[in-house]
Amino acid sequence: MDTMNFNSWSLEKKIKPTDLVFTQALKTELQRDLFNRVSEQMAEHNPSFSEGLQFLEQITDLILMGYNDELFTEQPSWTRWKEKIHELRFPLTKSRDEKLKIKFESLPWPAGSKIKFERRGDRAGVEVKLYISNEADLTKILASLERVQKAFN
Amino acid sequence: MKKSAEFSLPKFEKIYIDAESANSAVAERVRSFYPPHIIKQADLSDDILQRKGPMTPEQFEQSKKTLWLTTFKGHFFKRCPGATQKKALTCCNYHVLNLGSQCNMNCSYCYLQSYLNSHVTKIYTNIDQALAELREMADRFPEQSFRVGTGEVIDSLSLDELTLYSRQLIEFFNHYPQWTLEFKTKSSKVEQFLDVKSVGNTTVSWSINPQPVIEKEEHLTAPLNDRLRAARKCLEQGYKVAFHIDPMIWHEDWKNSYAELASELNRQFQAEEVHVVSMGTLRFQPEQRHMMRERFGLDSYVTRAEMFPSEGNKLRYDSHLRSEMFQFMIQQLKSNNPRWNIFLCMETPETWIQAFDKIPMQMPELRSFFKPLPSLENQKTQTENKKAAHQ
Repeated sequence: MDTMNFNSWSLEKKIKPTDLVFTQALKTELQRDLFNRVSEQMAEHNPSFSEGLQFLEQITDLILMGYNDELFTEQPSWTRWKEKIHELRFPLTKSRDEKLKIKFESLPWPAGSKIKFERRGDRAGVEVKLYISNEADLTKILASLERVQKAFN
Repeated sequence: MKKSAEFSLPKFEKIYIDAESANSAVAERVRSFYPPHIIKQADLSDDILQRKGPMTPEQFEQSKKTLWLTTFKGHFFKRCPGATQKKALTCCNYHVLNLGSQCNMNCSYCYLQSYLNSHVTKIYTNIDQALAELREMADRFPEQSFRVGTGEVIDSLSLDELTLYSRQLIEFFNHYPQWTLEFKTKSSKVEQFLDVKSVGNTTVSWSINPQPVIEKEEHLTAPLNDRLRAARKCLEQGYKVAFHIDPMIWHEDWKNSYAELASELNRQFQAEEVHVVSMGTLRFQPEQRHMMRERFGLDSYVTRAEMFPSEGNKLRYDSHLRSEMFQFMIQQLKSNNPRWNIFLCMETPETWIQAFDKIPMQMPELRSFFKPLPSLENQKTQTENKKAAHQ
């Protein structure tokens, strides 16, 4: 299979010039060249329309913030590269979320429950899955959740 | 009244005056202050006056330098945009009276960048019509206490030396003591109305930030100390004074900056002298980020900020960070004097609870601001029904 380049990716995903409006902030030849090189490498991973545009907008911000070589990756994994760029653009949130994740995961959740830390827009927290089959389960879980609340504060 | 040499004129490069506005007092003042070669009678063929829709960064810059004196054809009096998002946000029942649009200052986060449709700065010369509209509202709803602000799409006072609208508005509101007039500004221009006596229902308010934030993000605005000095002058003349610490902007040294701001407020004002302090953190419409990035690059606390989609669709800081910023500022102010009257602007009930442990309706000092108002249309029907019942 041929490796995808940025032009073919843009055609396939039906990217319009207005979708790339953020690139207008790149004013110098150096900045545009850097953007072009990263976007060519990104296209090889053939990300979806929204993932690709979100990634390129973060790349634009990082170029304007003075990043250069850090934008490229040696790793073959698109997911890892995407995460690395996201961490560079959102370093404080990354560090806050990690602390919050540790805090949430250390809480005394009811036995058998499944918890998953995630960020949803401006909020970060845990999704908790519980299984209840009778009133006794419910009583036990409520008591555990009270312990969670106490430990949280 | 002062001559132009006594105040700094806003830097307009071109001024258009509609035929309908040509004999207005504002047009007369504008003609007396600006050189005739930049003033032109507005013509339908003037492309810039007809242009509508989103602006490029260059067009936005140009719109700040082009003034159009014209008349407003619609309703002057409206609900604050916060009221349209009541399901997501806790709203304080503010009403707005727009006597112009665009701003001669240049804040990096300004929401006008994604809001304005017109490509020029407008001043509406038919203030008499706006006052007639208010009079009609007052007659129709005599028991209602409206809070009316003039600083939604234009700074209330930064162009006031040209219009002198503040004087007319204060005098008008003196006849309606149950109503409240609020000017909101980042300028220090107050001398032009200080000799007008208010019956106590005019609040002059300042949007304030720590000086380092002003220097980095609030271009062409008055320095913090000038704003605070102007507030002191207003207090001395019997005006109520309020502060909006909004938008609070995160930066590495934010705790020191905002602690310094709180200490300055505590040093220069008694809590009891200040009608209210509102707080909000940085927020903007998602589409605005492109204009800001292009106009200010990434050398800005605002464009570098880590923002996320939130309820109400705006981009905001992480909710935990917002709560931390509010709690910090409330603590900084109240540790010196617990009587500061503080509320949050355009925030979710969850953030209120994290900051104050309660929602505004549970706070006696704020209840009157947040008490739900019936819609104007419903009120109209109720008033008409009451009248009909009496006949």
